[in-house]
Amino acid sequence: MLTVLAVLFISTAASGSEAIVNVSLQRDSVSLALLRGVFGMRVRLWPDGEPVRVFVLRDDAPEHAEFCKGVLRMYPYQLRQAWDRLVYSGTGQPPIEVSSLEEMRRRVAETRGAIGYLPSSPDIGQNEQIKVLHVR
Amino acid sequence: MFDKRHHPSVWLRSIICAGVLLSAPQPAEASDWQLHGFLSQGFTISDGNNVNGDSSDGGGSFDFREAAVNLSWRPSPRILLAGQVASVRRGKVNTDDVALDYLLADYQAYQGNLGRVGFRAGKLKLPFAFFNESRDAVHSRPGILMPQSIYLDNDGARAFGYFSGWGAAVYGDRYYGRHNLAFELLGLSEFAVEDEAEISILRRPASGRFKHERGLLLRILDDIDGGRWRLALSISDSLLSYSAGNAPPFDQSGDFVLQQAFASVQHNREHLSLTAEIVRRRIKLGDLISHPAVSSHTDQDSFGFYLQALYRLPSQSAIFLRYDERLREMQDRNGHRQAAASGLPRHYFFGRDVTLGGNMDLTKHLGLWLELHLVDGVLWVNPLDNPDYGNGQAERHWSLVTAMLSYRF
Repeated sequence: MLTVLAVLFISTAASGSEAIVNVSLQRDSVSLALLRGVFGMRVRLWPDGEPVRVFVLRDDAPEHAEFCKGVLRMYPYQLRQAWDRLVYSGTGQPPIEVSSLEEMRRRVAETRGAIGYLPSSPDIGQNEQIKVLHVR
Repeated sequence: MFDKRHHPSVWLRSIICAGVLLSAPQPAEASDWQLHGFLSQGFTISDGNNVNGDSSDGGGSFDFREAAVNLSWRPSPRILLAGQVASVRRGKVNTDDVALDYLLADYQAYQGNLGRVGFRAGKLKLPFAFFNESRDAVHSRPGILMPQSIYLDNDGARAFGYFSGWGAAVYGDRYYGRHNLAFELLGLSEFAVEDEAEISILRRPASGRFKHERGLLLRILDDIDGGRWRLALSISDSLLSYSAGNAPPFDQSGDFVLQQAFASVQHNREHLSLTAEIVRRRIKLGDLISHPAVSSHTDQDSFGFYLQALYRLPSQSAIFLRYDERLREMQDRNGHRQAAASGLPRHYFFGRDVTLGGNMDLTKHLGLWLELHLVDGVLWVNPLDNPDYGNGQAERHWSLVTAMLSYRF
């Protein structure tokens, strides 16, 4: 019983997702509307002028679904449809797909203007090149 | 000799090419370049009338192929350059020729916390209703055959310039609380349309030639709660010209106007998406006909709509049910008046299509689509694939099964 409770507690604690950005970005928070525009690939530069570079996991990655539903309050298929519209009309580019959370952390840390996401964890801030972007 | 017909387009194309060449080549990440595309092969078997080749002769038809490759480049954060070439084969309606689908320069002039404004110019996809600008690829449109009411899928829409055209646009987004309000306003210049265009416009082969002279298109789209609800209004007004051949009934050269208005609504949930779109089209063809008795082919006030419910299943698959209705004359829903005037059966003036469809992603890159259509009426049956169409022989009640395998990257 205790094991079950412990597993439940850990899985609850491990759920949740945060938007992360490269420290080059001046801001610490963003409106949900602008964040949806960023992940919808309609926003090419941050209001402070940095170029936006978006990193995502595969559509079927659980962490991707968690971020879409928990933070953007959207579904992965909606983002995919929005990206397809851009690609096949020539009006935008889809985000850069990474293969692991480790690669997500590394690419966001080394790219100016980069944004991605990670599961909520106190460890996120340990990398000095990334910071959490809060949703207002 | 100065050729007036090509003047604005040549200028526009020169500006685009110069823009591409002069864009400062700053150090770029590999991700600033992107290459995407798809290759789709369709199969159609039908009973009664042909769709996409000789589909009703027993063995079915493989005469439906679609392929496109696009390249995009961000030379600087505000600028995007993109182009796509496509090759489509649909029975006798579209040949395999490789054609430029879009080629554009896009400049995002302003991005703030509450919205953005930008400009684009070149050969642009036409953004009306929900799916027109992304209709090339089967995975970004509502099925193998699109709803014929809105998208004129089976009767030469591509040849008619319904997919893309040369012009310039201003676009923007504005965030209001739960709403993301987006607009696009396009001005379209002259461009030639292909030989098969008369099928869309006249519903029969004709000996004359069409040209798009100029047009204006506006779409306003409201995404509420990140797209949980999507609402769109699109209007367009195009002036086309016709150089008549000598075959009746369209024996007079002249200009004519095509006006369209679309309303679209979609509701998206985790597993369910409901979509409805309606269109009203007005086209005045009376000036192209010298014989006053041919009244049924002059001014049209047509109407169409569809309703679609799509349900997502586990493992990247989905099924959908759709009802699609297209009327050639809004005030003559069952075609009695037009039949009396033209001598053709009344089912030539409507098309009602019940579709059951499904799709499944086999891998990340490979998908399979399958559809059953039960159709009443032959308004959108293509005369080029159906030689008996013109003499009133097309069958009123007919059905088709179509499948498509598509690879994308």
